[in-house]
Order: sequence, then C-alpha cells, then structure tokens
Amino acid sequence: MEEFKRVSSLLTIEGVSKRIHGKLILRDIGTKESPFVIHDINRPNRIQGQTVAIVGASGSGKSTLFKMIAGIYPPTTGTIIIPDEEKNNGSFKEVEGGDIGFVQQSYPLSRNQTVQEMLHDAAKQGKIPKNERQHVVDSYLETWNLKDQRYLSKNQLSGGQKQRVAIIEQIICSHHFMIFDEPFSGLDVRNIDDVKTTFEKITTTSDLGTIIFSTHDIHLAVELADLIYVIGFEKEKSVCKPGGTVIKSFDLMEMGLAWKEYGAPHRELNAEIQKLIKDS
Amino acid sequence: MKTIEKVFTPLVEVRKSMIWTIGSIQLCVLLFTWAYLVPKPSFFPTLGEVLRAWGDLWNHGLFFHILATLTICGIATVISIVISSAIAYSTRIPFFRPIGYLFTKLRYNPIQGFTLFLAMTTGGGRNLQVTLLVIFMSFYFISALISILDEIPEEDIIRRKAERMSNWKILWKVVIVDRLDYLIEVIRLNLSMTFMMIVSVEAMDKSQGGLGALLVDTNRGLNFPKVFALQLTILILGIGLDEALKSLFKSFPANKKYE
Repeated sequence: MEEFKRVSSLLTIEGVSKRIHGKLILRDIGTKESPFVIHDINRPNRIQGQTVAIVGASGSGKSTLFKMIAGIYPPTTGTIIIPDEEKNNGSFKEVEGGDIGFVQQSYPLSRNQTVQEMLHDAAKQGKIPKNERQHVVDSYLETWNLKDQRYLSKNQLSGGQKQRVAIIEQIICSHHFMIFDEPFSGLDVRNIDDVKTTFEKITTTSDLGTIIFSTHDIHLAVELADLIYVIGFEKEKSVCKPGGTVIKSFDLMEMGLAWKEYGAPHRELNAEIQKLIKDS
Repeated sequence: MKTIEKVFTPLVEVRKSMIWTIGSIQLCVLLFTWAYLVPKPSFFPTLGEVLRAWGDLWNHGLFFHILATLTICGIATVISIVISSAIAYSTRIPFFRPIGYLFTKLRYNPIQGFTLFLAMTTGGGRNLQVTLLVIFMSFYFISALISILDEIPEEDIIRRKAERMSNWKILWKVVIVDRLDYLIEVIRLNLSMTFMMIVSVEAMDKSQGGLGALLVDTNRGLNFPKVFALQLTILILGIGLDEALKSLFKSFPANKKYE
C-alpha cells in the first residue's frame, strides 16, 4: 500500500438532507455510521490532492448534492463545512457559492462575451488584483492551449474548447477545490483523456487540489478516484426509502488501490459497485 | 442529386447563391407579369403607373412624410423598449413578477376603446400618436421579452453563483447583458406590427403628416397607383429596418458563426 497521511479536513458533510418542493431528494448524508469527510492527503515527496467520485443511478440526487456542496442550494437540514481560508487560523465555515468551483455537465458559458472577457470576469470574481488579471488570463490560455481562441465567443468554440474555458473559469475563481458534474458524459476518447489530464493537473499542482466528480462510468470512477461514494436508495422490506443517500463508500487509499495501474482488484471493485447500483 | 432535383426536394441544403438566383428569377417574373400581363382597363395599376405615381409623390414631399413616420416610429420604439425592458427585467424580482405577467395579458385588450380617453389625456397630435404606439408595442415587447427570460437555463445562473456573483450582478450579467441581442430580435420581430399600426395612428391626426396620413388621403381619392406606390414605400422601409436590425443582431458575439 502506498504511504499517505490524512492531515486536516477539507470538506465535512454532516446530516445533510434536501427537500425540493416538498419532495425528499437526499437524506442523511454524512452520519456517524457513514461519515462524509474529504481530507487533505499528504504523500511523502509528492504533491497529492484528492479525487473523489460520486456514483449512483440517475435521479439518486447526485447533482443536487453537488449544488449543495458548491454552496448554490442550502441544505434543508445539516451543514457542509469547509476551512475558512480568509481567516487562515484553522477555523471552519459553512460553504458559500464561489468557495468551491463547480463545472456543470453542460459547460455553460456567456453568450455575448469572448473567451478572454469571460476569464477576466472570473479573475475579477476570484479577487485577483486588476494589474495581475491579464497575466493570469494569458498564462491559463497558454497552458490550456486556448491562446488562438481568446477572441472567440461560445458559438465559435468546439465542445472540448468550451469545456476547457468552463474549467479555467472555475479554477481562476475557486483555485483548488473543484466539483465536476458528469464531466465524461457524451465525450469522445480524446476529450475523456483531456479531462483526465485536467484532473491530474489540479490534483498534482497543490496538496489542497481536490476534485469531486460524478459519473455513470464506474470503470473511470475506480480508475481515477481515491475515494468513492455510492449514492442510491436504501431498501426497507424490499421497498425503497425516499431520498437518495450514501449506501456505501470505498476508500481506495486504505484498500491500496489508489494511484495504481487499473488491474484485477479494480475490476472486482467495479463489479461490486455496479451490483450495488443495480440493487439500490 | 442534381441541382434542379435538389431545389424541389424538402429539407435539402442548397448554396446561398442558389437561393439568391432563384429569388432574383422569381422577382423578375413578378415584375414582368405586373408590367406586361395586367389586363387593361383594370383597377390594378401597372408597374409604370406606380413608378410615375411614386415620382409624383416624391416631388410633392414624400421624403418629409417618410421622415415623419420614421421619427414617430423611432421615438415610440425607444420609449417602448425602455418601459418594456424595465417591466420585463423586473419580473426576475419576485415582488414585481405578478405585475409583469399582468402586462402580458393586457395585449388582449383592444386599444381602440381608450383612444378618446388618451386623446383627452395627451392633448392629441404627436403626443397621442406616440402614446398609442408605445402602449400597443409595449404589450408585445413585454410578452416577448418575458418569454425569453423564462427560457434562461438554470445552469447559466448557477455558473455565475459559483463565481461568487451577487444576485444583482447575475441579473445584470446573465439576464440583461448576455441576452441583449434577443432584445434587438424582439424589436425586429415586432416591427411589422408597429408598421401596420402606424397607418391607423397617423391617420388619427393628419396634421402631423407621415406615410399613414398620406395613405389614407390617397385612398380616399381612389388613386390606386399612388396607393400602391405608398404601400411599396412602407414595405421597402420595413424591409430596410428589418435588415438593419438583423445585421445588428448578427454583430453580437453570440450570433457569430463557428469558424
């Protein structure tokens, strides 16, 4: 097993549930029996952030959970806690919109702005000083291979380019903690590789670099994640309880599967998760 | 597929130049029919008669009537857009939502019932004309704008919230600035109704001049070549404005094509 150490918590979900128009969408996320905590991971002589996958059937509440983690929707009950970076004294606060970057499945962008204008907006929102913004935007455009697209608008970008702009916007704004809602959905092989590279960039440039993503591709979840939460519906006397919840979690670091080539143990885990989702 | 076969097949893409060629041929056929195949004597004026009538109208101040019509149309459009935008955008604020939606229903109310009341209130003349046009246009602008705002995807709002933007800033960035081109499109799509209305409005007070006043007077004298000449003038003006607004709409980044 690879050597690693859990340092402080980066995100803690405690007893969260969510009702929308009276309907229970999620319940009891982060309990004593099934905690939902993402830690800062330390690996000797390596910069290592964390990659967390959330898997589950459609309609189990993954997107709603993401919107709550991103601070867009307030939970109906419970709290979502993150370190208070502004105070920088080890204190914690409830998550707010903008604390965590949120890259949505459809990669929405402004209709009437160029790529450069969108990134300038993000830099302004990310509180980057005015005199540094152009430099920051330029360096991202260079690193993410979008230099030639800086004056183009959303309509003139390819799917992959839109995706990269949406990701950079959120990185500029929220720095190291990112949520990706189904980032692999509808992508071709090359674009899937691009997203994998993106994940690697985020998690290997800072120890605090953290990604939470959802996917229906269990193979990719097992391949990329260090921690997997399976969301589904608990059954009581073969009847599903209302509201999705964490039915099981897998700590691939403890299991010795994280940061390793995909092999037989990964395949077994893949099969186990698939069975869990089918049965839930 | 052969070109001839293509142009008669549904849902087939043809070159833009081909559409222009077909359009030009059709226009020539129409003009030829009008010029040479209209039976005589007939109430339907020939192309030559209409052109001569147009020349006569031009020599008798058509330009100033066009200017009067464009002025009243421009003033009413600007006022209407300001009022309609304010009402439509305010529907994003829950407190103002009911009043905004009420305005959309008022378009079913015929304006003719209020003309006397408005004439007394505004003092008639240019003020009455502008007021009638503003009221008429605003109901349609508000309805069209609100339906566009209702279609704003939730993802666009979430994206900006994830960028730490306040709700007011999101209103400005996502609802107003990011959809400014739609405002132009709403004006363009409603312009034809404005032009239909302008004839009736200008006819109410002919002392202000304008194409509508001229058309009503000409119609009364059964001078069909002049009536046709005026109708064509209004049509050409409308098409010109429509094309200008279409160009403006296309100049927005959102409507630039993939390169």
